Amino acid sequence: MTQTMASPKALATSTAGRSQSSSIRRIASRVFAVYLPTALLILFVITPFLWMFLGSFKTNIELMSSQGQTLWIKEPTLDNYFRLFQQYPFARFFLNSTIVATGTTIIAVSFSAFAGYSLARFSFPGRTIVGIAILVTQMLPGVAILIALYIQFRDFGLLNNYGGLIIGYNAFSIPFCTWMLRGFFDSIPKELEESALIDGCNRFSAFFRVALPLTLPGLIATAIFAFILAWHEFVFAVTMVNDTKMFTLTVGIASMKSINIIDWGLLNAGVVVTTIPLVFLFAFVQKYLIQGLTAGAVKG
Amino acid sequence: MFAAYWRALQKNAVAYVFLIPAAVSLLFVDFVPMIYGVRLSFFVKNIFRPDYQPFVGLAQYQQLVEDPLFVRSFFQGWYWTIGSVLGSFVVGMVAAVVMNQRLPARGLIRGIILIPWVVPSALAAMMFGLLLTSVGLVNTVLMNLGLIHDWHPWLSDPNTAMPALILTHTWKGFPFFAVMLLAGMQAIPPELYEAAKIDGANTLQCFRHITIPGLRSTIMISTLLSTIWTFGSIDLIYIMTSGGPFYSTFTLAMFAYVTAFGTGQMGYAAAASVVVALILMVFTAIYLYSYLKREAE
Repeated sequence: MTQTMASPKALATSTAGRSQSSSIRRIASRVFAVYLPTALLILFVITPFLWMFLGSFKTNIELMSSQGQTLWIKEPTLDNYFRLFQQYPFARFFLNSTIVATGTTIIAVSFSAFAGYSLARFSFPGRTIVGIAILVTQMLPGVAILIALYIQFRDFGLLNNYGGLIIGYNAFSIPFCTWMLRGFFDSIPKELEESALIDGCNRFSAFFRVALPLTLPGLIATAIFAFILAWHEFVFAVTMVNDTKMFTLTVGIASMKSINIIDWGLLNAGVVVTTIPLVFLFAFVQKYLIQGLTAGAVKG
Repeated sequence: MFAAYWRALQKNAVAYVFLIPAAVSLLFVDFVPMIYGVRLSFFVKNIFRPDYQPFVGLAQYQQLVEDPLFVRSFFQGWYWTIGSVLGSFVVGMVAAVVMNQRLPARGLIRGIILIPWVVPSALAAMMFGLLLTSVGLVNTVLMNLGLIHDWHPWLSDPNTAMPALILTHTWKGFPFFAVMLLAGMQAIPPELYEAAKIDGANTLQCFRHITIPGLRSTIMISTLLSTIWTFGSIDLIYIMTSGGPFYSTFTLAMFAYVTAFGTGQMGYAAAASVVVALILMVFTAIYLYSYLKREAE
């Protein structure tokens, strides 16, 4: 007792000294543990885009220079972009991707809303099996069904057209959307639908009038996911379509790479043109994406 | 006896009706092709010789096992998958920790970190294809850091092609792990950390003894999913190297695809696809087991 009371000043200064060095240590550890990784991560993500962006304004001579690339553009040019739009119908590619992705999303989300609701709300014989089947289908590699689908599509004339692509894309879209929407339906309370049923609604109107409006954020998130998945798809599209007019965006971009002549300026411009709209779009839908992903993750 | 089934059907009619659109669609675009694929694997079917399609039973499976390219693709497929999943996991974990911090412009940082997720694989493939060329970004950075002394054609060297692909897939794939792990981290009750801090634990100890165990199921789910998706994916490989140079980036999935659409041997490729599907079924079964276990809890 007397010891601690004896020298409060000494105690105060020694504590101050300790907190000074420890706060420096805390700042240092924060820099290393947080700020440095953050900066590195951001660099990791952004640098490829910056590089492409810069490169798209350089001439091919400069891009292929054996002295390597610099941040400073020696001879800035817009020529790559002019040639890009002359040689590749990007507007057409965008259109194709949009049509296919929209069609897929509409069908997948509507079919899956019904199916997901059924799995979430009704207990019927075979429910577990259907749930498992949906899960398993989602995990199939595209390669497994691609070969059979190609042969079937070829025989039914579904190659090189929107319908074929939309039908094919639903193969992975419906299981995924059903899985997501089931989770969302599971998370809304049953009571509201049950009171609607008591008030005389049948199951269909309970679904349309009560459940669907409540899950609207989930529906939107699922729709965005489905759209993005369809937009990103490459292997199916490149297999089923060989008519340049029907190329989706991903196939169109990949087609810029030929074995013989590599026009680097053109490639850079192509990547920039297709990336920028995506990044802007992403800025808008980001909130819904994270919501949707984490909702699924937390519930598993 | 059938009356019982009929009664069950009537009682649950609405449930089944709700399922019809999705079920019918999946029947035609998933189940029928799967069964057709299995059947196809028992026939020799070359797309360039439509008149010759003998039934050969399991012969093509035997052929696969004896095919050195198939065996090689099997191991390279695991090289690709394990490397990509590991890389994505590590970077994703770092990203999750970062996104969990209180930082200025947190929303912006989160948004930037998630950008690779919105970029199509095809686009990422083209981008990194350019970055990995002899005078591309990767070489420029490495040269300036003094790590290498000469331009290296990453994608043309059989020894470095796969690591280059893995790097690309890590760039593309880490946001998935980041979001999953972040969600998992946020589900860990903060009281655990507070209690630990009172007991004198530092950040690293908190991470090792609270965060990691708390993330166990999240880690398992995301790793399983990522493995399943990566093993069967060919977007990046097809665009960046087409399986070369000298088949050094040939994975099992590439083997199946190229055999079908490169050489036209549909039956043989179907057999390879069945093998791929079976391998993935093992992982799917593990996922299902943990999913059902959690459902029961």
